[in-house]
Amino acid sequence: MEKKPLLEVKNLKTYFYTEDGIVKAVDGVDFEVYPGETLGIVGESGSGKSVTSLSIMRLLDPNGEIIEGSQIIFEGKNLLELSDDEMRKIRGNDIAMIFQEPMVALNPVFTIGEQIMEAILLHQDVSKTEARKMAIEMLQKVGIPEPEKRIDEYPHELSGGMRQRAMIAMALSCRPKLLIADEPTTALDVTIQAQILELMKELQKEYGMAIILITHDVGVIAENADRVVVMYGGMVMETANVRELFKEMRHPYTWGLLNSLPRLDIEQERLYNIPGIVPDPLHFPPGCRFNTRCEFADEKCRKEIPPLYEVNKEHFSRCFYYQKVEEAQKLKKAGESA
Amino acid sequence: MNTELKRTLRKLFKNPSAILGFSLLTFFIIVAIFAPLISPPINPMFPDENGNPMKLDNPYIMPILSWSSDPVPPSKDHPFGMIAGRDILYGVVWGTRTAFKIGLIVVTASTFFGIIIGSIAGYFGGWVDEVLMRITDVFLSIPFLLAAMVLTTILGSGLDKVMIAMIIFGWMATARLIRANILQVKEEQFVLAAKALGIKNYIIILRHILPNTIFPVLVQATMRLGSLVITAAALSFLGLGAPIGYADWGSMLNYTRNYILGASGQALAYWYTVFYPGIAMVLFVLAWNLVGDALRDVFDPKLK
Amino acid sequence: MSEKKVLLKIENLVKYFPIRAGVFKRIIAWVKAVDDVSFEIYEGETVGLVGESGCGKTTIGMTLLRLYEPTSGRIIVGNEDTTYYFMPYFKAKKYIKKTYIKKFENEDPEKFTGIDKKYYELYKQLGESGFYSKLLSNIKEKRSEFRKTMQIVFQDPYSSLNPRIRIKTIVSEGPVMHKVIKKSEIIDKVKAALEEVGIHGDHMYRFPHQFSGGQRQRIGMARALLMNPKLIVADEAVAALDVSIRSQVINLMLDLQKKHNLTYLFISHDLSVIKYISDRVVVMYLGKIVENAPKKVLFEDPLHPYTKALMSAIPVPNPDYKKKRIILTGDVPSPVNPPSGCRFHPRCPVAKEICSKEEPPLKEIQPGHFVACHFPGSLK
Repeated sequence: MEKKPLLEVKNLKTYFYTEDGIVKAVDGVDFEVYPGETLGIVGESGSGKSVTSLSIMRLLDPNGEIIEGSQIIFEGKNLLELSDDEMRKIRGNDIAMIFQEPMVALNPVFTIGEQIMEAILLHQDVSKTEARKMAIEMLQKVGIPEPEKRIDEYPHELSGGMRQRAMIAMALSCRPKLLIADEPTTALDVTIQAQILELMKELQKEYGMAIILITHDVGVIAENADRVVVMYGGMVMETANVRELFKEMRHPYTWGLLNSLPRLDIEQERLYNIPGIVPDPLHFPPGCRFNTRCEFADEKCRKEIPPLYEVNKEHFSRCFYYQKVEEAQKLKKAGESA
Repeated sequence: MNTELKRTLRKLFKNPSAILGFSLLTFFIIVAIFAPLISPPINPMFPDENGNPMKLDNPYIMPILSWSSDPVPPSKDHPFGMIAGRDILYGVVWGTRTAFKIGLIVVTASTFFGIIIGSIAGYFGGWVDEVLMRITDVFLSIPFLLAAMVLTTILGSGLDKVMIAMIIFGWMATARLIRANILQVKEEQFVLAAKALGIKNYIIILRHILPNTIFPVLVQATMRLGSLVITAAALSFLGLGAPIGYADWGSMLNYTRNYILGASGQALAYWYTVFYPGIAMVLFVLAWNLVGDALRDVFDPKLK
Repeated sequence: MSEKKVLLKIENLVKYFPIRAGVFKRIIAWVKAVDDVSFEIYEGETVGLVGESGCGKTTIGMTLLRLYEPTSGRIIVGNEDTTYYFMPYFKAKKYIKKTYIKKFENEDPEKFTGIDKKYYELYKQLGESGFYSKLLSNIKEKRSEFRKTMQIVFQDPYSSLNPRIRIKTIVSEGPVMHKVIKKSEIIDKVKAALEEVGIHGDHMYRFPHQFSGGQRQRIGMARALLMNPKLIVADEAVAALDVSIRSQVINLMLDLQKKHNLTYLFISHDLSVIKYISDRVVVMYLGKIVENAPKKVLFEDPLHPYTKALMSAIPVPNPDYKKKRIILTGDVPSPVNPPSGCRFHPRCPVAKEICSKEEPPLKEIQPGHFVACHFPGSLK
């Protein structure tokens, strides 16, 4: 991997100022995205994964603020230093985003054709008829049957899966270099989810774009991502290449997460429990964010926030005991099954 | 819950508009309670044998203190001035009581009918709902002022008749609101869970449905309370409401009809005749609206 | 399997919802949410009911608990027909006449089995009017008994607990009403029930919003448990929870099952959860059962093409796991106008002509393995 990253997120901190206090939704996140790859960001509710993506797009709610010192570098430009106008040009053109609920992103009073054409006309110098032709092509590409007819339909006339396809068509109409997909299939049935994920893979191959795939579903990550960032409590806990992460995880949270999943591929006696509850982002514990639920936490974990240790060139873990994690967990598992 | 309550109160009293609303309301309540002290219900024009001023039989009928009906500007004895021989301060102070009376009675009664009609429509659904909602539509489609005028023509004028008109034409919004809320809450899983537990219907309604639907209605009622006084004033201004000389903000404005334009060349010559009853009314409406807003924040569990 | 007692038997269950339109709210169409579904649940087992949205799985749960009245079909609990329990008197009478009296008068008594046989003997013994009054008497007690037998845990931890009342009341109101616990025992019993599901007993005085999603789901379990039910219908009970919380609640449910000898009907869209928790799996598609088999059999040798496709669509958290992907085309059709013949045929990769014409019956291909397909096992 001597390639130059397409997107570099450095020390990203996004805080929300609420009546009850400061919510440190994202608190020092670093990662890179390389051209053409799929980076999976996985985490539970409150892990900060969605806020990270909204920060990259600079689409935060007014009470959210990206803290000084954060950097989001896209093709050498720090997005946080751009004017609103310049950012608008990047959005849609270079970086596009798709959401969990297409109804949020699609305007209910315009036909899907009008919306796709608007995106094309905004960023490309083409005539209206050409834009319409391109929109129909795009709809065809995302697998919407009878695109000449469907282009004049309103979002509510489409099924959930078709809406998601229409949103992808809109997002990809300007051939972005980076697509951020925030829980793109969570609201869909599994057979439709499979269709959409397959579609995204095909389009990625065709366009060569990079994808940031944000999801809570570890299975979707395993099947679709090249590299994975595991987030918890607004921080990156572990990041690695997908194979390595699933085989040689070096963080107790990753281990717990993977072992608490019911799985189709293996027989399971009893699921592992990560004890406790997901922490309230208003009151993160001091020290390692995971220490309240970690069975291996000691005094040090409760006091200091561990740095991201380099396990190898593309594997990092935010655990003081990352070298011992594997062994300890193996022992534990052996002990349990015995 | 205690900490929760404290938090809510703290939030409430951090909110300047809520503070303003509650202070204004408190002020009006104090004025209403202490009306006999602020403006004693006596008429010095007619002393009794011992030379003491005559006590009024009905304090709500403003005593006539002067035979001149022209407005008299504010003075030491009559700080708000006089109109039609009556003290404006007296009218404003006792008018506060009238305002509360109108507001509370009309809101209580119309909300009550609204809740009953709306709940029946919401719970039972089907054709019952259909019939009740069409009746509601009919009532909504009648212009209120016209209906009130017709009704007072039939029943005769008077404050009580005006209140009856306002009740008869004032329940529809409540009925619609509570019906919509019930339709929504009826599908909540905790109501289904209660049904699955075999809880009796009336308990489901009282414990599970009403407490989750009633608060928006109370907020709405609070906000309506202020505006009802304006409606009553409009009717009084048209001569349908309170009798002549009644301590009612609207009736007092009725007196000013001839003076609203001021004297020739002095548009603001009689400003006090409109200003004091007017400002009382505006502040009264404002107070209830602000309190209603504050209550909305408190009652909505989703905002916690 | 055969020596196990049948706790719940659903026979030809149908539930249609009317679609009304126009000024007079005329019925213009029917949503065929559940269309002729039959299966059994044995005591102590967990049946997983799986399918995508619109397949009718939630409707089955709701109809079982009589939160919806069935359009037709029988719901037999233990040895009693409970279908008419929640009908108004005359409707119940009509049901009994249609279901039993007509059958007893016209059909050969030798062929009656199960509940029909039992009721026929009653009918012979008591005569027609005696039979009616026997079935229709003590309806309140029968309803109460039914509620005590069957309970439900819902999906949405936020909407399933009344936000305005305390946990103590939420958990105890049902059992107190049905006299499962005495008023004087409320505090002790609620405390015990809460602690059993892993909630601190003293928290019974709190309100729902003071708990997290997982804790609320536990409270929902405690509410069901305190009724001392035999069967708990869990409708997507863990779907809304975070992964790390989900395994806690699943394990809790399994522990409670062992302890109280509970029977579960576990309704879910997630095959991996179903695989972990169930003994037997019922797969539904568009209001029909397509396959019903013991878990091991189903996951090792699924015979219906839909089951196979569903399995291959579930993402597996293992990058090295090689599986054959079957990507179904198209969307799930509307249950208002389901396709003719086999309802799956427009999306089925191995459909033949007959599939669009004839509806395949649910056949027992191997003992305990039911499939509704003209060409079972043909999708490789």
